[in-house]
Amino acid sequence: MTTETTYLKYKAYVKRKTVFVIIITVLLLVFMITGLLFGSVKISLSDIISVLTGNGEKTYIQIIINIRLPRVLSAVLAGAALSVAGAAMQSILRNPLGSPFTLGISNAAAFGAAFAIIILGAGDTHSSVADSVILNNPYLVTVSAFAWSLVSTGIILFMAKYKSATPEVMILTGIVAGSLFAAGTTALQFFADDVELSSIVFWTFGDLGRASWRDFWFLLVVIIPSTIYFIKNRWNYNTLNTGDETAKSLGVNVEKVRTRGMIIASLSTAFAVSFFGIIAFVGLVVPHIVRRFIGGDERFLIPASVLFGAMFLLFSDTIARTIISPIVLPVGILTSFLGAPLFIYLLLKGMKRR
Amino acid sequence: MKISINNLNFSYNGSFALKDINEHIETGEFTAFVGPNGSGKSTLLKCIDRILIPSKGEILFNDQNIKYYKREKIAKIIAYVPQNEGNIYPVTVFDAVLIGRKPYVNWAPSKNDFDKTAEVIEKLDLGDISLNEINKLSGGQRQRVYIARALAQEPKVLLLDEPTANLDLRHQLEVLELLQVLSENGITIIIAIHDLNMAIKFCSKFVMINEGEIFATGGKEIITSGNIEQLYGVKVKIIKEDGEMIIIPLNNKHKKISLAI
Ligand SMILES: Nc1ncnc2c1ncn2[C@@H]1O[C@H](COP(=O)(O)OP(=O)(O)OP(=O)(O)O)[C@@H](O)[C@H]1O
Ligand SMILES: [Mg+2]
Repeated sequence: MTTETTYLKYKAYVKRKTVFVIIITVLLLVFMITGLLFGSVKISLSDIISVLTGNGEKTYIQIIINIRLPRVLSAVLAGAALSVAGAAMQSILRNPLGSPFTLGISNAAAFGAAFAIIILGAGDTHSSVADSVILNNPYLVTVSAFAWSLVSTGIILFMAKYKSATPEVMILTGIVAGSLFAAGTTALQFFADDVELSSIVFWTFGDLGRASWRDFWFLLVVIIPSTIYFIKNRWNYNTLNTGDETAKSLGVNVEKVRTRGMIIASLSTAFAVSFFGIIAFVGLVVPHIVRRFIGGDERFLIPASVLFGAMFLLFSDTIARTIISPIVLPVGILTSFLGAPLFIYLLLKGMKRR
Repeated sequence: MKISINNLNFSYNGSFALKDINEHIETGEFTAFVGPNGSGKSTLLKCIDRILIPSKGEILFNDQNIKYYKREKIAKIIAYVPQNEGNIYPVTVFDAVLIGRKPYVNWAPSKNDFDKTAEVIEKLDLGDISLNEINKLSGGQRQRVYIARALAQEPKVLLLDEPTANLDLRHQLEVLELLQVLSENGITIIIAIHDLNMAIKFCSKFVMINEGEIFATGGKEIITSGNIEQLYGVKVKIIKEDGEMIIIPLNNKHKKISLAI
């Protein structure tokens, strides 16, 4: 075998990964169009096109532009954010359990929401529409959820600082902080009245139906730069995979890469969770699925997780909207139902391979 | 590149410490760190690569103190293969070697990076398994992957912690021969190694380390049965055959280990 054939063999191998990325991109676009098509009002593809090009009927414009489009785009953003943060956490922490959910960030956000609803009185209006509970001050809930997720991130980083940033300490602290916040939420619920209780439960189910254009722009401003940051660091994450000492000898400032990565991953997921509630399993499962297809090379894993996560959440949300139409399920329920068995399946398959 | 270690001190938070290490290693020297388990060989190698930061003293490369260098710059000079460290997530052999180009890669690897990678893969006889997952290789194959990664770094100084520990006889010879050739080409090489016979066969300089201190340093002349007995507490006989030294351990009669349980 010669140097040239080794290189060509590798190139052919990498090409397969590129093809995978292209396929998900195409699927993502298809699902975006499908997401606009499906809903309780039937709107044809040609009507959608005329709406998107600036013509079309008034009611259709209302439905497409103000309801379905922000929802589809939010699904794309939230899915991408949660998945890329999960992928980054899994490599930063050198642990396949890394994800916003397992590290307690979601629990902290839920606690923050409950805190706003009960202590700050953000949720005591009665529900007016048949199937929804209206929070009288949704922004207070969002801000509180976000602030408390920062607290949980802060606890993780604080502990890591004192134990010189070992991944084990970070993971264990995250798990413990997460259960602490879960206990806190339960305690708050104990003092809640019926309406507050239902507001908390409602908030906890991740639901993309809350997305407005304003939320979308907020998210975009946070999630695009953080995604770019992770893609830029994909080589650093590849070195972390080899071990801390090797990574250092390859010129990487391991502690800095680890701390910054954790901060940015936590921030962007805290943002997504604060707006939409808990969308479980996406951040954990998506990187594992992608790794199954294209292996552990972060150069491809990170961007592919962005795309696959967007596609996965959009797909789940479209199903959630249509499966028992006209009732719209919160997507968080669906991702849990899809994600948990999927994860177990991956684990079983992984065991056979070893 | 020549290395001067001046008055180096290092200590983990616990009890073990490297004490007042002074050593000078010439360009292209092939040096063996030898000594008992826990004597500090790995620790000293890590200090040289600044993976561990010494508490006192300095290390000069061509009379330059790398303390003031950025990590990336050090990575272009020194490559290090740890004793036991492995990937968490499976990657292919090619990818595992390609990561050695990290110090040279900004956004994406260039054709030159791929060529260098393929070249060292061939050099270490890994061509046939270049697309296998490294988590599924044998211990010896994986060791060669790590050495290939270090070579992909194009270092001037190469530090290897027990590079032959998992290798079969043929691959031990091949790896050490390769390192010898590299040292003849001007790369300064330091290995930690337990196999004294292999060390004598290939290395030009020996640093005996005991309990965090340098016990003896020099060429083959320091490999004496007296030194070895003091270092390891084991009696040996050294014989000369065809001009080569061979160390034969003798039964350790006065320190019989009781097998009673
Ligand atoms: N991270 C650490 N923290 C605390 N002590 C350590 C650490 N790593 C090593 N030590 C201690 O430092 C001493 C030297 O260890 P080192 O790994 O340098 O020995 P070594 O000569 O490479 O041994 P071996 O031949 O077994 O590889 C040992 O007593 C060990 O217990
Ligand atoms: Mg060692």
